[in-house]
Amino acid sequence: MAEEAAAAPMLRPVHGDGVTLVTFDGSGNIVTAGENAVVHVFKSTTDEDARVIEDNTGPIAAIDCKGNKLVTACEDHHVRLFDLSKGEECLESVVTRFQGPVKAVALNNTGSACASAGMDMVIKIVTLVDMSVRELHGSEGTVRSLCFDPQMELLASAGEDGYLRLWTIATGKIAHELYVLPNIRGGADPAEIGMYGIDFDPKGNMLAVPVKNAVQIFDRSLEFMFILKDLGHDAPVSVVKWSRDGRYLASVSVDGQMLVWELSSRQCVASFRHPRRLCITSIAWHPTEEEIAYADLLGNFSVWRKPVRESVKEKLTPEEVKQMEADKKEAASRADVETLFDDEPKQKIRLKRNNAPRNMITDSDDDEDYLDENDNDDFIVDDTAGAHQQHAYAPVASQFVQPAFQPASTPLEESKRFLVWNDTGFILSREEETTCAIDVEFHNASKHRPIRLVDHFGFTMGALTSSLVALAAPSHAPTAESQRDHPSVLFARNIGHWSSDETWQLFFPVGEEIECIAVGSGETSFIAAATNKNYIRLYSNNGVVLDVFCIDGPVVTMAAHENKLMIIHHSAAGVKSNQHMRAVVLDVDAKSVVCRTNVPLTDGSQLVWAGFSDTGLPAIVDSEEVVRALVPSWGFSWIPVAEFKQLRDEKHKHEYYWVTGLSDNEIVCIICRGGETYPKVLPRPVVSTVPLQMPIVSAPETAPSEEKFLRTKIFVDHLIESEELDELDRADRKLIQHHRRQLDQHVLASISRSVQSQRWGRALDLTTRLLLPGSYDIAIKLAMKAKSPMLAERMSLAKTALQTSERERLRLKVQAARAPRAPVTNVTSPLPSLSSVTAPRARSPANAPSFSPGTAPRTTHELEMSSPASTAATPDKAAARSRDKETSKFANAFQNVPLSPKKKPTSASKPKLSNPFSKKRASSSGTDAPATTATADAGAKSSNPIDALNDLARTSPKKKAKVSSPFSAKAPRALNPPAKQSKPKKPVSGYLLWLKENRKDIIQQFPELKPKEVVKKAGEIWRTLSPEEKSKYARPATSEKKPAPASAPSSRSDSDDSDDDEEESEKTSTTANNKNTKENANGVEDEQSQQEPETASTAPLASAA
Amino acid sequence: MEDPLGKLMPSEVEFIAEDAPITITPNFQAGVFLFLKERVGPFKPQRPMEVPMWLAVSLRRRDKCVIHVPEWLSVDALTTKLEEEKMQQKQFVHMPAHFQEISSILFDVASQDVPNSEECRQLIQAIVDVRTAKIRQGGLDDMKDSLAIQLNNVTQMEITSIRQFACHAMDAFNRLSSV
Repeated sequence: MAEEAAAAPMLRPVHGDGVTLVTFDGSGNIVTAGENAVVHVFKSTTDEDARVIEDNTGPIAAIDCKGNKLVTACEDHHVRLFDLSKGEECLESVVTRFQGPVKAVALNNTGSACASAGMDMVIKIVTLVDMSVRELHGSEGTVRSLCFDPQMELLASAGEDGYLRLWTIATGKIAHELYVLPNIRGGADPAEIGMYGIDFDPKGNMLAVPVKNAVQIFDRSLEFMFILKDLGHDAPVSVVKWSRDGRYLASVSVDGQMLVWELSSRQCVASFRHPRRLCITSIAWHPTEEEIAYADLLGNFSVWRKPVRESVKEKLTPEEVKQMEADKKEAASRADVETLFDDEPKQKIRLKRNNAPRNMITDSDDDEDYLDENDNDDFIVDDTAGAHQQHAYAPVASQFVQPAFQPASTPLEESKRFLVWNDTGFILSREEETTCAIDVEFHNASKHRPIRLVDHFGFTMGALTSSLVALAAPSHAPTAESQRDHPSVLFARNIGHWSSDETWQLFFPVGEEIECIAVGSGETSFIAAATNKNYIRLYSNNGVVLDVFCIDGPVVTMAAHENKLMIIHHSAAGVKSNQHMRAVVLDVDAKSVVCRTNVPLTDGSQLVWAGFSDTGLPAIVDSEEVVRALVPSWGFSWIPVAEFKQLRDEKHKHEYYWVTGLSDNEIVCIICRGGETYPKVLPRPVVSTVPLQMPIVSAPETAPSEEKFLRTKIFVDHLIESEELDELDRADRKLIQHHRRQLDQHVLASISRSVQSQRWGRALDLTTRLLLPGSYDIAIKLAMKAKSPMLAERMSLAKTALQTSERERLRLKVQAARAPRAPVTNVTSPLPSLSSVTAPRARSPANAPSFSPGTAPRTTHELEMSSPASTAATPDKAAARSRDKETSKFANAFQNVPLSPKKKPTSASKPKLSNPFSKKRASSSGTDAPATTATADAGAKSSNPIDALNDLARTSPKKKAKVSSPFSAKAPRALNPPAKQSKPKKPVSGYLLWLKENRKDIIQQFPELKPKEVVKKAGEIWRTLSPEEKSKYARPATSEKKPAPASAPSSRSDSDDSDDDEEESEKTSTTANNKNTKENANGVEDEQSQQEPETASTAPLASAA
Repeated sequence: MEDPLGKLMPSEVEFIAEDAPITITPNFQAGVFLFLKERVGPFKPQRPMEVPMWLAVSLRRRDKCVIHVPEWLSVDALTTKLEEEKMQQKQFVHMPAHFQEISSILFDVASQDVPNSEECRQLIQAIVDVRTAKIRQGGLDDMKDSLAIQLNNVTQMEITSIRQFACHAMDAFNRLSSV
């Protein structure tokens, strides 16, 4: 199959965009002409040294060739005659001149006369011997096509006036005329209505005429004979041509479909589709061989070899013929079904990047297949390979399922292909005469040197990071051509490694084929290989097996970024022409799932690229050029960030963005022109960036800035969340500030426009999106300028709310910084398993049952509210409530709370999601900054527009606790040990005191228990104790408390303010306290005393639970 | 009052032109650089980005980047411009700001990056010649009869080259006509 693909002629671009013409001369040379005014004569499709004839000075509209004689109809008003047997100077003469562009030309069978016509509406027949001219008048529109009758009596013409005419050459009069053609009078787009290409059969008895979606056959008096339509074209037929023996008729439609009809059976016997589904503008039969040359609207030509296989047809026995007929009937009855699949993915697909020849085999749909006999598998074209590919009849309703591919790889062309092209560099596979080689080159020339490897295995998959090159090959059985005989193999080479460049390779078990590979760089680099057994095999960069696990369906593609691995696989049959895929994003370091989600694709499209943005946001691109990014908001949803096909104007219609990466605001791609869907290896492609544009629908005046805001926000949110705020150095903070300012700029632009159009409500809505207090001032100024003090007032109230929430945020931050101290000392002893970790604050996500990292510090708040909420109550709710109180102090009221754009789902599941993403848990341990990002940001920014008219003290937190981004490499660290949040807090002090005393006893009692189990046991025992016994321990705990207001349970309910005071006062001492690692009893007591208010107030909570 | 612009020398105009942004593709990785006027970066290998001309030149000299030649600096575009320029007797065709300086810098440091650089150089020279001739013949001829001359679409470099002379001449004519 691969050989056949290689043997099939590729499309050859020779002329620029526009109608391209092709014909054969008498000796089988291919003659092409196009709108670039040049005629080429090729000896074969691969002829590199074509003759070039440049005598025409305008676009060539028609050519005809008989023997060595070539005539061209040129829009420079001239018809020229060439003699191809001559050398360089082959221009014989100018046959005739017209007033306007010449559109049609024809030679008679002997080449002794030439007919030409064009916009002049006059047809001129020139006898080439004496150059005598006969003019035929009577046409009422531009003549688009001419054809001599082989019997030398008639001339057929087809014009834009819609008339098909037969002229008697001798008299110059119209013999017959018929109104069957499209009447367009003037500028016609060949891509829509076709080329009016009519043709007489070699005997001159039948005239074939393209009429709409069918071919009609007329006799010499223009009497209708029959129609070739059955299961034929779906689009207007453009050109028809009889084979030289008259047994077959070829027809092409404007959608690039070519059919061959057999005259005897009046059935279609072969079908072919332009590899890129471009409009075919010209076809020609080879004078002797079974070949049809065709040329398309973009200046390419190629040849369809052996459209009809004679041997097969002749060998058929009558039974077989009957069988064929039956098949056809069956096919006909299926035709209705077929229409359903008209839009089947393959038809629209701009396919590319086939992994390997093996992938081509899996392609099995083809709506043309039914036209064929079962054994006539030669006619079927597999356009996915960009070349003619032939395979057997396939069941009609087969659901299209795309094969596995490597993102950003190209199919084999001229023995070369890119295995991958990404931000780091590219891997190029080259087949040379004797050897195959792999070239690895890096974009960053200052860091890496190019690598060249000898390719012993025929690698078809490649992946690249700055520290690792991975290659994989499918299994090979020895063939006549190559001696390769090995199973599927995985190869890797460390680059920039301390122990020189290490390489290793692994052979996979026979029968297990690698389908796709990906390389990531988490704490250590890893290689993931997906196989046809639906296994994902993970290896470290040095070949150590990390793991092997299963996925739920055949892999489509994989991509990796830092410690994240995205696997996209088929998971079910899709609906109609959709494929059903699922994406799994994994954290390889933590061996956890970040998310599982379905993959949205445009109807009928294919996935063509998958990867991560620079900052680690997963993204996909489908063959309809829609770019989608996976964001954590909306419970992990794909957001369309660009629809390039919609954005492209007429001039760039034939461009295609071959995506190699995604940055924050742009897609990084190689722009392919002229209908190509992948870049050629040479000349080296140039990377471009194209700005993204979210497809939003909004008021036209604010749409651009709203779009910018939304889009920037996706990436900025992700960036901010992916960094740990506390760890940010100055530059990062500056960067974030810079991004915030940018966001505000977009919003301010929208506000300004809204204010201009006097849409106050909208302006106020937008104001709430501002992040920086300074921006509010600008907004207020804008409002004042527009003379709307009411708006300005509301805006300033919104600003106050922002500042309030900012203060709140700071307060929480400090609180958060302080809070973790308690658990450290308290829990260390009962949880030896945790204390064995260097810093118990860093908690394994697996142990976090239901609370987010941000929960702990804010529990205090929850308690302050004496909330009897269940444990599932979200911290945010509580925080919000506490904020309610505070904002109410400002007597700020809201009439209507606008939709908070930033509000994220506040379900308990969200925090749960956030946990598993911590990558650097271990590395963060031991440091002394207990505050978490999540916490710091958690209670954070709540600001809202304020409607002072209403006194309802109601507020809604605008911005919810920010959950640390799951895609971030770094994750919030210093999580609190689980015991504190997940276990009931009721017994904290009492239980601990009791445990302290009784721990040894328990250990003695149950020596077989592990430390962890001891605690469990202790808990059980504690639970069995009577309340009196418990209170015994509870009292010493309370008695050790400070005489702070919080210590008295009775004063607790109204202790909000005092609590605040306490916190304020402690704010200053927090740092000192923190650094002072107290291990002594005093310290413990201290912690406990602070813990106490929680303890007591959690009581109802726990009992409720 | 002294006009600060009046003293501009061509070399200074070229200096100003070097602030114009131009797209490059760097082949190295670097963060953001803070310069007096602006911040540039981050640089990512094979990621096209805009930098000021002077930085592009300095990077190109060290083979750290490839300069993307502006669209107008191609044989096709320049030929059309030259045709237009020749067609119009009195007016000037709009050319990109500092086209003379930018093209000369590019021919200087990155002639390999400019396709058909020799041809482009000649075309630029031809355009400059046509325009200079126009300034001399057209623009300055009008001075005799009017108080002002209109020089639309004339670049800073061209104005610099005639400013002193033209101003003096205008003054002289004005004085004469007031006599």
